Amino acid sequence: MRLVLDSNEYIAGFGDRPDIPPARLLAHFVEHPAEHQIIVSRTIVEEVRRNLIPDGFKDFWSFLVSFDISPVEDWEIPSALHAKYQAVGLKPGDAAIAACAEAVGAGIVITENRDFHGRSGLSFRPLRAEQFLKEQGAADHPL
Amino acid sequence: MNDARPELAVDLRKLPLEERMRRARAILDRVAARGPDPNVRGKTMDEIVQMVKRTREEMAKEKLASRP
Repeated sequence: MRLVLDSNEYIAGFGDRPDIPPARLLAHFVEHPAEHQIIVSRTIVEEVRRNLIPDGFKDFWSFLVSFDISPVEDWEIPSALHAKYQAVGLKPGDAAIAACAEAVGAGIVITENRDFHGRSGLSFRPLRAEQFLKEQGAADHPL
Repeated sequence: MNDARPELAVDLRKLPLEERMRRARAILDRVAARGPDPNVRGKTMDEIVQMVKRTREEMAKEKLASRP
């Protein structure tokens, strides 16, 4: 299944303690690289760049390269999808992430952003890192 | 290959999956050893989300402003 990880997961995963769910999420993907296809948008890359120190961003980028992930460019995402998600109440920036997820056919967006959770009209399931790990049977995955 | 040459993404992407995951593991180990990022240290997950949302909306405004 294709997954989009929101910026908050990368920033917490690469910027905070290794025992928190976003960091355990990254470790889970390393241990199970063939189970999912991670998709990242250029917007997410830029958000991570703006919020981590350069060494942290470099590690984030190298991590993407390890998974052979190339960012989806903003111009590849139909503007009609941006409009669709703003119409369901998402702010423009969040709508861009939702539009990317739909454009690439992602089934899940992993995010801690409450604005996605409990919202109808999304083409994907928004899950928190902890929820995703639990569904994968990896909530207690060791580092 | 010249050892002094930096490893480029175009070359790293060609490595076998097992080797790429070994490197990904090493990246996570390095991140853990470095400790929390100064921009993130001490913040709750909700504060991190709010930090990203501010960046996100700034970027959305920048994109709007750059349209001809």
